Amino acid sequence: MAAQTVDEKLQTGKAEKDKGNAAFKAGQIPEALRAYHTATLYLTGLDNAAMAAFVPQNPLAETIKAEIKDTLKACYSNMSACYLKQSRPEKCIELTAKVLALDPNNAKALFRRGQANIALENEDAAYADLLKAAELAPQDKGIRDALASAHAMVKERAAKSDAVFKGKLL
Amino acid sequence: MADAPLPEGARSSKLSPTGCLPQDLIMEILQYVDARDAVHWMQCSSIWRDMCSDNLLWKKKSLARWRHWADGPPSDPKFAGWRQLFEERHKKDVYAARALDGVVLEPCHRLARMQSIAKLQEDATDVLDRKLGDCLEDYLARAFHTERVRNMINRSWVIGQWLALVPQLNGSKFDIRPRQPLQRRTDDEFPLEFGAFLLCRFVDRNVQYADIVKQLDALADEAAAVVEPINSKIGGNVVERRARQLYDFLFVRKEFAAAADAYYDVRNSLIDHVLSRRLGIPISLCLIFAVVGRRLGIQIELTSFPHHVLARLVTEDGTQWYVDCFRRTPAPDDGFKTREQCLDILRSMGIAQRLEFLEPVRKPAIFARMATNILSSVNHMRDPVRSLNLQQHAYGSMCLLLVLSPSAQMQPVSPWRRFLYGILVSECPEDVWFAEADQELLTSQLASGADPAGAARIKADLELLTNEIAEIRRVDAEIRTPAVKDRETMAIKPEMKVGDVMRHHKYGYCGVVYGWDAKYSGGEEWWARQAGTDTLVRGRNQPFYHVVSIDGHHSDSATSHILRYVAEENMRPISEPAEREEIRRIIEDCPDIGRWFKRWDGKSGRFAPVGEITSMFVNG
Amino acid sequence: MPVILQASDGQQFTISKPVAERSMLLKNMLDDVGENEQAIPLPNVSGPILAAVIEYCEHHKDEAMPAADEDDKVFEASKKKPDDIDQWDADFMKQGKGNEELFEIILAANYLDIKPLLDLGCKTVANMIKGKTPEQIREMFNIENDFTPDEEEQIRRENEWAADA
Repeated sequence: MAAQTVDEKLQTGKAEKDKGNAAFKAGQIPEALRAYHTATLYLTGLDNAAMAAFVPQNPLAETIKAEIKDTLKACYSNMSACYLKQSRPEKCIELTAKVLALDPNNAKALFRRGQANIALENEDAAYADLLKAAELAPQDKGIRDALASAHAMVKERAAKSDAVFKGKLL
Repeated sequence: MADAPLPEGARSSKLSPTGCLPQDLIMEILQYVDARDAVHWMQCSSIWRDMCSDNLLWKKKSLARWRHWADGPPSDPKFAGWRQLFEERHKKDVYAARALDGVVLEPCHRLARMQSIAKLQEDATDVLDRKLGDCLEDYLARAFHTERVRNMINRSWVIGQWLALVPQLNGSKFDIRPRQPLQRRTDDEFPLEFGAFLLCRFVDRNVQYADIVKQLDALADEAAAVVEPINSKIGGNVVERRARQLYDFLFVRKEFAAAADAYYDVRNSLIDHVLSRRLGIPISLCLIFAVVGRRLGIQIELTSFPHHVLARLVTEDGTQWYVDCFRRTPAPDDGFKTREQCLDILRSMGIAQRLEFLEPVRKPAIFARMATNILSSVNHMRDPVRSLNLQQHAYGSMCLLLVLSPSAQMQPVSPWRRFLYGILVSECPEDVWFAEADQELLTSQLASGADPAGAARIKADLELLTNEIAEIRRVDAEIRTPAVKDRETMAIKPEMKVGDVMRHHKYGYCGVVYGWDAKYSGGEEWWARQAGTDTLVRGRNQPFYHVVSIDGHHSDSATSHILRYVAEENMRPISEPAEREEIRRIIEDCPDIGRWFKRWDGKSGRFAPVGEITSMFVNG
Repeated sequence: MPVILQASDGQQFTISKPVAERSMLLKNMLDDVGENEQAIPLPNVSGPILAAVIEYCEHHKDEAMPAADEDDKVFEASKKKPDDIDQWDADFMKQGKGNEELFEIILAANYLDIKPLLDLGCKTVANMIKGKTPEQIREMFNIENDFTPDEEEQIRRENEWAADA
């Protein structure tokens, strides 16, 4: 069996991503994860000699690169949603970090990371992420609600520590 | 995932990394590549030049290579010059290494070389640490000189830190690198505990500020549990109550006590010892009270109450309390005195009731007083603790008094000066840079005519100092050709050679020979003193040996040595290998042994002397 | 249960779970997806290279997993030293492997997230150029010199300081 070309791998990756989306909608999380993992197996590691086979002047190279990046981003993003659903906040944070490495201003990824941090009781980190997410997507009610609860957590913790550290000016 | 630029005409048999690997993997590889090789790779083509110049790459290389930074590594993440920084630092390393080799191997210009290394301050430390590891040929000599340089760097760093309190000395030679001011603190960043730390650090470079801060923070944390909170809702004089609670915590519960018995123990003035022994003199105990109080939001200051420093605090309604932290058991009172009580005390001591005794004093005066205390302690100590270096503590205090003199109102520095330079000349002539700074200070004081009454004294000091400096520099630059002593030509051949270990026939102490005279050459006075107690059978016409003898071997402190002049009849050479090994180990424990000997020579069973000695005693 | 891997050229390899888990990528996938006879497709690694990677993982399967990389740890001079390669690893990298295979192993190790193998590959390349002059490096990697003689001389002079770095 001959190795696939970059184009073929991209198509397979996209197909797997779609499979994953369908499984997620149907509530079959492990199946969704498998599909997303498979997609990433096709889409990462393409930055090698296979890619170098493209002649530099080929405009297709740029668009294909962009498509690969977008598909990967979608996979990571959806995987982070899966992990949240499975109550695995640490894995969610890992994957949202991958999304943000590709796209630092991705509101959805910041939102999900914020939710994961709330679950882990890292109020400050959650608040920071959710604040930025709210700035980037002011219309999103889900983000606003999550931001409010993070804010409340921060305030509660501050009140508690005031009681403990009162009287101590360092 | 950035894509790499495409290869130029790559053939598949010898692929270039740029053809196959993405940028970030090439950067991974480059992290494993030595600076020298990275620089060669840079010369291959323009793409490689750009990749190998990557700022982050050189940042990682710099931070991995150097642990010690005089001014701290640049903290600005956008700093774009890591490659230049690496190059500069590397050049400093090469310079320092070469200078250090010179110090070890050449007796001439030693002090000048040491000073050039010390100018690099902490930047030289990596080199000083590194060299020590691999050297075998002259490990003893190298250890000795390296230690000397490191202590010199430490002392010059401490002096430089004190300059934060003396703006008049900005740009003076007291800063060993005047063109680049040492990391200078502002007044806020110079808390009392930092000054107290510097006094300890001058002598012992292992004392760390962070440790002292940690201990003080821990005390404050513990205190916070028993002291009312600052925003306490209970009425009345909150400040006074909190102060009393803190006092109770420190001086009753934690038992920080008055060192009434061994009052003149120098450890009572050194903050690291005060914290561990919980014993102190009034000023150091008040200092602890003040610095812990500050952490709890209580403002406590020190006064210049004569003979017995008192702490001072002011309550909300303006009442002044004077706190006696020198709490004896049983305590005569609760330690808190009113202003009137203090004035009464002054009257009963027969001292004029000057109101300034009750006013808070500024930091320079506090530190000057602590330094003066250390000097008194050193003068008074009858049973010196072995592990303390009293001379060095006295030296450090005097250096501080000298540096603070432009700003602190103190007694004239003059009485200390001669004592200070006595120690400098005999113990650490490498600090001649400090003497030169003082020389500059005195010259400007004379020129400004600010103190006409003291002009004569200043002139006398300046003359003495100038002569001493000239002498130190002259000796340093001198190329000495000592007279050669060849045992083969001596009528009475000395039995022992330079480097041999020995025991004293009568007194049993051990030592090593660093020189000999064919017959007694010690002068009449010494001979006369000996004649009464110890009549030598062979008299003057026998070889006499210069010996580095070990002054008692204690496990808790480095071995110190005494130089002796021993007649051959009292020398017992060591032939037994086991005993020789034992004595060798004792002698190697003495940190100064590298002054005379390079290493132990197992083959010949003796210490190998340094070049200056070998050239004088050609056949041993 | 064994794990089946399929390389880009269709070649299949059956390995045990512990060996597969040397790759963080595979480990994450196996953790999420559970055990299953379906082959895992690795479309970005060729058969021969995957065989070599598996050989490495087999040999090192009993070692402790490396700790998470603390990137900003400042004074870790020992971390990035290329000289501490053990004999088996050194032979593994040498046997019948030209530049091409070396780079592909590095890529595969990166793709499969096998940090020790990636480090080994990088160290090997670093050792290849150790002590070499620019001419020798160009020769080894077929780099075309695009500097003018003046530029080349200037760079060489600017970097003389590193001769004993």
